[in-house]
Amino acid sequence: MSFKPCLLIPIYNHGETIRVTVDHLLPYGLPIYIVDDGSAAPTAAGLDTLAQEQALVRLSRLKTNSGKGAAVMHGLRLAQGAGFTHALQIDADGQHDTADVPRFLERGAAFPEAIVCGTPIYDDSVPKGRRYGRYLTHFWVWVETLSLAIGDSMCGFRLYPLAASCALIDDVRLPQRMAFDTAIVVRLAWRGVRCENLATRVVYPPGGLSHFKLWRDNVQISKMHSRLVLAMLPRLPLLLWRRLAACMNRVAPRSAHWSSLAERGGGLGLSIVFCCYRLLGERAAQWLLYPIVAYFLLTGGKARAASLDYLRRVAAYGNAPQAKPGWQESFKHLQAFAQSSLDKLAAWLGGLDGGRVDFPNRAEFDRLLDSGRGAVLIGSHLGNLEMTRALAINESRAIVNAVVYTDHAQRFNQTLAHANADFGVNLIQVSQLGPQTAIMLKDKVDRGELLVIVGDRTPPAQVGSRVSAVDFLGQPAPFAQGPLILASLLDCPVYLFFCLRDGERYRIDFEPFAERIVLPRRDRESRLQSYLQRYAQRLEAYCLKAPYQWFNFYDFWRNDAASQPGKG
Amino acid sequence: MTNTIDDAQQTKALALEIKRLIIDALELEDTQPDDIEDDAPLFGDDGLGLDSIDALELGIALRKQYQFQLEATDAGNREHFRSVSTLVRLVQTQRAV
Repeated sequence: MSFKPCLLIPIYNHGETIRVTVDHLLPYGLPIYIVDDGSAAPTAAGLDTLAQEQALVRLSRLKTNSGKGAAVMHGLRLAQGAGFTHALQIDADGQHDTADVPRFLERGAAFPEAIVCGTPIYDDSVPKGRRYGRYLTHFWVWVETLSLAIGDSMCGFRLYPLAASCALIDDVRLPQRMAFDTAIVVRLAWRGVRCENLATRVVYPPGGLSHFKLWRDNVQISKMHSRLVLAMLPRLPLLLWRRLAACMNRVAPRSAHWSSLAERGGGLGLSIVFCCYRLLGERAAQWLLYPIVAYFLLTGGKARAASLDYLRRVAAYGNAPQAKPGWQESFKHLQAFAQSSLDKLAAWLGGLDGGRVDFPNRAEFDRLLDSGRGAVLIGSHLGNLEMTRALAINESRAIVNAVVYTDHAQRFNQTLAHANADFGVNLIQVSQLGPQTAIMLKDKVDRGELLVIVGDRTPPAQVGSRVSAVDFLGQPAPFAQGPLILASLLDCPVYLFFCLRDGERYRIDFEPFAERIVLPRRDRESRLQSYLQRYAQRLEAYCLKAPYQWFNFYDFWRNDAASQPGKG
Repeated sequence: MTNTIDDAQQTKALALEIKRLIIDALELEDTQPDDIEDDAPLFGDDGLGLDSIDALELGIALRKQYQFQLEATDAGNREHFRSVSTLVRLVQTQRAV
């Protein structure tokens, strides 16, 4: 395939910025197609002068303002008619870093059949509302293409392969305005045009004029997504088949530590459900979960393997009737996870009334709050941890701090901060444990606040891998010592809590674990070992009660504790 | 003039006090205050080589002794605990407040 590129700038009333943009582009020596989308007289006149001065500039004009999509499509056709194979689209308003033009062309030359999409790296100049809107669109594009291959569907800095693009716009009516950018890239993906992603810096220049109309364009974008989702359904088998084929071609790497997995279970799952819920309501979101769960089942090789491994252990350990769980059980497992994400969201958005939650030993919790003492609460990824946190906020008496490792939490936090403006739980991120961490946590406990720490995740290496291998569902698994060490230093009581779904309802189990954790230096390891063994036994008991609510989708028994021999 | 000498002596006394506190809190039985250099890093592979539990324990002990108030958001917090010297400065600034 030959490679003969040109540049394409759709413009509507960016009279001041276009000159600068063009000045930056001229040194590349490529023809610059400027499509004037019916700009007002001053800009139009400026463009005429520009075209007269610069031989490389080829100006074309739409009689009436028809929208960015219309202008781009017009330009694509012109460029193809003039014998070019590729057109690099750049916005007129100076957001795009023209220094990246050679990178786009290089990538295009290497993959002439692909569309090269810019994925924006923003600085602080981007308005928050825009960023949030993009997030919704990212999600829909993932659903529509059943793939994460398209890094960013909205960035107007991209290199179109003209043959495929023009064939598409001849066949299908695409949206004329802002929705165009997304629609064309999704439709191209359906036609098997691969998307090459290229990170590029995007700035929102001060005083810049954006034609993004918050209401009109958001409505249009929503309409477009509804249309695309509907159009996606008949294509579902084909798309799934493609995914499956891609999966089989990929050699699954060795099981990774959960913190290095892309947190499919957390960030992505959460945002997916969040978007569904916001846009369509709970019931519709529930329906949409099915294809999404199917997608995860097909593509999440590691998660699926971990699910099966876990389910088989539970079956063997608990003498369950179905001795060998398979795909069906894994589907049920992932479905339960998706459902729990939805419930989390319902809790955060206030859609969950206390009537759906049973709290049999609430008295114990009340006693703790009445005592005014701070405490460490060890939660787990069995059941719905966030549910309890949401309740704690509604309770308003308790100040709850979630202590979490690494920047995964940050993503989680961002999603939820959007979801609920009154996000009241303090999220304490621990990337490195230091004296300052202890001082801060001790302050909180002394003020009677609660610290929630999960007990069934091991810290990433940079936090220090202090784990004990204790028996869990019949085989030693590494458990983090951190929560207990913290509790011993903070000199406060420790409670366990679980929030499990039981039919349509949730049940909170809250049980005292230790009044104090005492770890004399001499036999610290053995004490920790026995505390953790006791914790693992409690966790195990709840696992057997609600086997499908175990949401650790990674190889939990992984071989990082030396004491675990011969795991295949 | 005398003031400066007093200050220097005070700083020296405080450094010694902090070293003792480190040794007591962490039960470093074979270590004498003189073994700890003022500017040597407390954590990590060189210097005193304390680990993450030691770090937490030290935080608790220091807080008890000097009633530190730290802003949770202060990114420089970690730096305060780098060595005995940085700790001396931290204690002095907190006292000055």
